[in-house]
Amino acid sequence: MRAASPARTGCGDLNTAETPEHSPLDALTLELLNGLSLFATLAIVALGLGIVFGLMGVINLAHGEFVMIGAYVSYVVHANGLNHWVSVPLAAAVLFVLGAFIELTLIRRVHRQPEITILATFGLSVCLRQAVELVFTKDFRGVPNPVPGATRAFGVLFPTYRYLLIGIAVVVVVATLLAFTKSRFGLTVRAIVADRELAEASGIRTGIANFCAFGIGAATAGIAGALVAPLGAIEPQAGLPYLPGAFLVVIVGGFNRLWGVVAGALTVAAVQTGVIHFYDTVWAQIASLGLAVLVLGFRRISVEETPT
Amino acid sequence: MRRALTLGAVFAVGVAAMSVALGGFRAGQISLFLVFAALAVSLDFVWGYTGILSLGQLLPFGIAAYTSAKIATAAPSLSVPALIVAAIVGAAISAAVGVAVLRRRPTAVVVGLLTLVLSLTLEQVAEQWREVTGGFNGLTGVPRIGAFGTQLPDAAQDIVISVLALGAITVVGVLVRRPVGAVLVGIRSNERRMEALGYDTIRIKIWAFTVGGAVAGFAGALYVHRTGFVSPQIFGFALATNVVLWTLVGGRGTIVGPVIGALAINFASATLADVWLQYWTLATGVIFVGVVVVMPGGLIPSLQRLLRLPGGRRRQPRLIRSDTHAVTTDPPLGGTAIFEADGVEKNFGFFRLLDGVTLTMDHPELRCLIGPNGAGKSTLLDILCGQQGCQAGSVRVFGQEYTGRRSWEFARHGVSRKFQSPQLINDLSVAANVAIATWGIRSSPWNLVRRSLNAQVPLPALEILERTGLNQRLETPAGALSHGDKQWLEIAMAVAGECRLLLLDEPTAGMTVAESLEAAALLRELHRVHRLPIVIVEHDMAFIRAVADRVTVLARGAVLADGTVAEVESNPDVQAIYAGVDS
Amino acid sequence: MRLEANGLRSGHGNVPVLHGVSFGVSGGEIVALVGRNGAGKTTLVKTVVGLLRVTGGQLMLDGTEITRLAPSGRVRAGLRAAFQERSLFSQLSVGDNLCLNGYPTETHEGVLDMFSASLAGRAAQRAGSLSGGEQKMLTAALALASSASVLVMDEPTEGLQPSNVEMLGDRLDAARNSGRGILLVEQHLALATRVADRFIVLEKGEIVDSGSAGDHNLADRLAQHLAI
Repeated sequence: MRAASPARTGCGDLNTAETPEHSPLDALTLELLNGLSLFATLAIVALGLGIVFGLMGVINLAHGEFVMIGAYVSYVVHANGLNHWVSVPLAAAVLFVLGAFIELTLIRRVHRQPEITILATFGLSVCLRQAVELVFTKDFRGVPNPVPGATRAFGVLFPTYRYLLIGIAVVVVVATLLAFTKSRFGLTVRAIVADRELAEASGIRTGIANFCAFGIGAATAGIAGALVAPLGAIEPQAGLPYLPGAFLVVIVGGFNRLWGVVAGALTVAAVQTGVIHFYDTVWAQIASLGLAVLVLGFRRISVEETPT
Repeated sequence: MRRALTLGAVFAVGVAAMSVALGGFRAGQISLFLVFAALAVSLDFVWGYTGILSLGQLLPFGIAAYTSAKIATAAPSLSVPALIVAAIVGAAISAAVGVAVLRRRPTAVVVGLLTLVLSLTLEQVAEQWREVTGGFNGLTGVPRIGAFGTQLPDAAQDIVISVLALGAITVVGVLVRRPVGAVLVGIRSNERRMEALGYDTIRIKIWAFTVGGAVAGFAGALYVHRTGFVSPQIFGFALATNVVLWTLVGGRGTIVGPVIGALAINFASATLADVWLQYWTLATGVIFVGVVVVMPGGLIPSLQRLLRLPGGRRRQPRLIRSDTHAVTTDPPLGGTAIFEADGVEKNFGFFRLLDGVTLTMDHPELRCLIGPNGAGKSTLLDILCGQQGCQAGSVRVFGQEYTGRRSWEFARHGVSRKFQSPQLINDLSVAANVAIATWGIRSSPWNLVRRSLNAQVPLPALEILERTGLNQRLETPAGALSHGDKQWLEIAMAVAGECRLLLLDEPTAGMTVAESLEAAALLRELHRVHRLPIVIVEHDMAFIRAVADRVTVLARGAVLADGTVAEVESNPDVQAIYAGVDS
Repeated sequence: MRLEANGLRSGHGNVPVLHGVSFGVSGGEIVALVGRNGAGKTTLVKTVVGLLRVTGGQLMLDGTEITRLAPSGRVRAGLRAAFQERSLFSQLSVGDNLCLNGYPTETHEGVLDMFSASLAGRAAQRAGSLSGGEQKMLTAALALASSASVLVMDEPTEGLQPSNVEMLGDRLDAARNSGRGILLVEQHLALATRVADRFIVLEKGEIVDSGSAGDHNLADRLAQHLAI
């Protein structure tokens, strides 16, 4: 049952566009589009993880659940007869509030101890999954594709919604990263990343910045969830498959570097698409895992554990 | 050790009797939950004791379960040897993961992530690799444990599995009461310190990870016989969460805690799940978060504190006066220098910390290193004991080339280091700290399992303990000592190995004026009686005047002056640097 | 008293460094805190600013207790510090550093002009690419141009050329005359003897001597304390 669910295979399912007969060049184009689609999903899912980790040093194991809740927002919007696109900003808003609430009540108490954080968010992910299950049951929900059909471009047919997803995800990722590099808040964030002590001593309230960062990280996960909602079944476990891919992106892209999310997503998407082309999704997962171990081997990790 | 064995035996008999009395369903539950307890204990060994946050303890458990299922299905009569094979498979898997992951000293967070991702990836592999794993439905119809052509009946198998699981738990319980248990706790709480005492910590961590894998693998084989099937979900998020939950709730680093955690939570879920399934899972999540935030130590340690039970009645190592003087009493042979640092260069980014420093000590003396902030004193000390490498130049110790070696190699060669702030194993007693310091120079993992809990302590270390009254408080946890006592214990530990060269980084930091003069007297005596060569980095001139034979002044990464205290103090260059007219 | 410390204790991790330090800085007064390397001066600065936890004693700023306040809270309460090292965000531009310290863009040139012309017009430059002396001046300017009632200056003259030390002295004089309290932490006496009204000497985390600028034997006492 689980294998049959398209959502279970996570990012990989986005690579199963219909592939009728076509020339080798078209096949390559299609592969590239699939890769691009995978990249966009990986990047937007990993974005929030990267922000929260880069700024606060917090590994959020409940990030996949944020994505899943974003998808449920989409479902609720659909169930109330509203337009699917309403759910994208709505999911961002709902998840911002949820993320900020979790930062205030939980993360704030533990965020100076990386190991405790990882455990706390591990437990949090169980709570969120179960809470959603209580409300919506385990049944698979779905959101119809708001833009059915395919577009012919570059000589191949490719689902129109997928083009939109790539576009929106890239816009959200780039806009968020630009906001972090160009705005006043972004300046504050970069100051905190560069030197938390000095930032605090310069009068910057780092606690508030943490609160916002966690909220924004959750909000981007919400957008990701709303965007992928029409592509697979929505169920309480739907967030889990996103976690490995997103963490691989963050590991490969580098901790503490916001634009690393883009670089990491590109690398992982390229490796996975390439391997999927020749083998299958499992080998793709194994290959990117190997890549992560290699990257870790070659780079000193700048996550310092606080000595006790 | 005898206590752990007795306890294990008593429990085994008790559980067997209970299983017979309760019969059927209950006996089956007990055996399954004890298998889970063994899995939790394997995580406790790896995480609670050694500090490796493994969220992928299901890797050896699951792979061994599949292996065992394959063997038992193909040849039911081989299911007993298959249990052993499962343990070996588990060990091999963990050893491979350990070598791949742990050698680069990743942080706990990175280990946690990688092991979790690895486990989730394996879930997908198991789903897809249908020919071998049976795909999504897994392998079913695994026969019960059997030998000589017969299978055990259900009731008997439940008891056998319970006893075997308790056996595995007892083995771990015995292990942690050996010296290696204290060493693992040491590595968990202060790896750098352990390395400076001569422990090859990476090797010991991989060893511990491997042992944990063997136990998990053994438990995996028991699991597959108990349930009769294995599916990819054995690697999944749900079970991964639960193993951590049992260990966490019961109390990490206690062995008993995770057993109680596994039993209690599983019985609770079995009872409540029928009535209350969804709420119960939510409740486990809430308990998980709650325990993490409110009592990260877990139930057992919290109860101990609450009821004021004597925490961890572990047997303390006995400190025995060593017959041989570990510390050199003779000048080194035929003209070899004690140490020679030649043209040492160290850059940090574009900043040059050490710019070709040459420093030697030809005969045992008490040498102080002074200099303004940023002169490179601590860095030089780090390089002399392998805590840091250098970009150019060489370091020779007792005539042997040691450039680029690890700090545990320096320690085994007789170079001992006291850090600026006390770096003790706070969770362990004073006696255990001293014992750990003496075991460090011969510390292969199996040696630490086999050797006795007694520690041969050289005279100078015992003298320090006596002089400071620490020998009256051998059972006190080191973390509970006053700052001054911690400094003394730290110095005692530094000379408790086979120390032939002592390096001290700001030994008087945090001491009052009176205390630092007392420290000076003690160090002078140590040097005078045992002819121990000592290098001290210090700022405090009163202390330096009281203690130093010779002073070397470093400034801007190079040696500025060298001589007696009086010579250095009257040197105009030194005065200029200290008076600040240096730019 | 604008700034008052009573029996202040703190340290790094579990190492106590300050063993109960008491002093006060009034408005319109420069108090020089001198002491040798390792005496605990920087620890004292970090404790006053809030980067190290106070383990005992009390800190008051303009009559309100700030012992438990976060560093950013103390900044808002009117306390500003210029650190000895890591005092600027070296990866960010000079202008960004000014923004982060609460100076709106239109005031930037005014702040940069504070020290002659050498920093003027360089707001776009990366702070880390300024020379050591220029970074020192920018650090001092960030504190001096603020409206804080108490300034803590940690070794502001280190690596500064003599003419700029003169200028810094003038700015400190001006800040004092505007009624602010200044704690000047110095290892060397050149600037301190020129501008300070009072001296306190720190040794091994305790105050071992203090005096007014007018005391006749002060120079000798200080020289003795600071000799190597």
